[in-house]
Amino acid sequence: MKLRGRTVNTGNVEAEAIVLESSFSFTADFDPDNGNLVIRGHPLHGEKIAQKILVIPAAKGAVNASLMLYKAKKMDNAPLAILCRSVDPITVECAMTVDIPLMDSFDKDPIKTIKTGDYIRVLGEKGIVVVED
Amino acid sequence: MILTKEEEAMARGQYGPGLEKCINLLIKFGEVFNAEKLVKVSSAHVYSAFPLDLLMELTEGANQSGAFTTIHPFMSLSDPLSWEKMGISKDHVTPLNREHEKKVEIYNRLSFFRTYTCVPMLVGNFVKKGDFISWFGSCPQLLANSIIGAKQNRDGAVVNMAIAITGKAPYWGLFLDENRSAEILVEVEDSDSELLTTTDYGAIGHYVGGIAKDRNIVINGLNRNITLDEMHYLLPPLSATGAVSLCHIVGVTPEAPDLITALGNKPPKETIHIGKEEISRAKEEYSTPESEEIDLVILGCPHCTIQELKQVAFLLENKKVGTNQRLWIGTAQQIYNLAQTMGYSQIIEKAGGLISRSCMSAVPDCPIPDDIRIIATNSFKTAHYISTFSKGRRRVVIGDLEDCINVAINGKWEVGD
Repeated sequence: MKLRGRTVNTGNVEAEAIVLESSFSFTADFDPDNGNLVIRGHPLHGEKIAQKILVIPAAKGAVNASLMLYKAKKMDNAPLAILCRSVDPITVECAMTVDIPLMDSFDKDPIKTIKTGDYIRVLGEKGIVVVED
Repeated sequence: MILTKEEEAMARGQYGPGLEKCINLLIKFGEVFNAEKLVKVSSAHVYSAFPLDLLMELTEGANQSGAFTTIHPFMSLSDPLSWEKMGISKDHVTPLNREHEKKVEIYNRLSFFRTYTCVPMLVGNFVKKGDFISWFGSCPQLLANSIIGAKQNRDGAVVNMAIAITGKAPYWGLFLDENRSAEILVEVEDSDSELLTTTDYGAIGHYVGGIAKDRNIVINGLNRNITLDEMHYLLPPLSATGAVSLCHIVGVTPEAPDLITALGNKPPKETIHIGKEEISRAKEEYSTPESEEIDLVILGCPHCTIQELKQVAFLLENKKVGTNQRLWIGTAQQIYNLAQTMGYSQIIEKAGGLISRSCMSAVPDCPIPDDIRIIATNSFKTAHYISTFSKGRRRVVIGDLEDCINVAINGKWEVGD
């Protein structure tokens, strides 16, 4: 299956997806020291975000979120790409700071089409995301 | 995006690799939000806990800041002048201070003024209505946008740093007049606004922020003589429980001569009513039984003004902070110097109080002494952050400045409602 979207920060990567249904913050919901999701009570609490493709509706976030991600990236604990419904300034800054692909405005809702554990390919140059069967 | 010749040269690297990186980041960022051009900023205010290696990368080859620039407070209580007295571990502070010394060289080279405060407008970073600026920190951003009417977006740390270094910012968002109208109307009702305390104001901000999220708001029904100190407690919680960047106050702030103007001649998308009940409910979130002993009192979020330090000194004169209590007060170096000239800081320190240039809201982001379990403060923003970050390990109680000083002396919560 393919999704077409807008490439905000380009790049081509492939990895497993982790999908969150509520908005996400790199300052409150993420531990840069191990790359894990930290939302107490959330079914995916403790799951790795590091080296995966993070799929979120949008980010809520503090103004130092990009620095948390920068710290994580230096320890290989950052996600490889971020896909969201529509980007907000903080997420754009995050992706540009660590230079990972960021896409939004897809023809299908990424939250509903992509499932946690799906293996996906992000082709930033072409504006396409491929979900492997 | 339309660029000037100078901006194009900067983007090609003619002014060095640091400026090249910064301006290209700003161009790319601006294009995502359909900015048609970059504009010159008159003022910037940057984050102190910026990673050294990233700062070196962005400033490589740059010898002056692009705009008048001041610096935010020390984070993680790492102020070299106060960490030891606060009982913060050496292991925690040493690496931060080592980085800090290297950053000071960069700050000095670029003329980033080392104010270490979240109230840059009180220490010489004076901006005018309509100026384009970029200030780091949700609280300084909100204060400058709202109280002064200087235009700024909720810039993140890296975009903000790139703006300070180049002196240029993408023309988008709250730089445009049409995006500055309020969408949310807050009606303050059944409360005599003449009698509202700073804690009441904080409670209003705390309550409203949670509902307003990131939308612009206008508050109607407040006393037109509201003081700067009172606005310092009303506004910051809006960017703690919410992410509000602009709050008009009818008859007070420059873009709100009347309600209709503040709303941009449109009906509000939502109206929030707030009165005695909502105010007391917000205060009850942070209350404690009178029998419990308070371990630490925190004042100075935002950093204390000279008026507040005067009041603290007056309340502490010939008194002592309790033997089991601590009193930590955040302020700017420059305000501290004035407090020394006036004799206030000597009274506060003689009584056992400690004054720091650190951020007083981010306290649990570092290992503070274990025996600190219950914290009293006059700031809803401090209360919100400490209880969120410490995940229940530390409790917070809220009260007026006078209540807080009394509890620092007596150990127990005797005043308040």
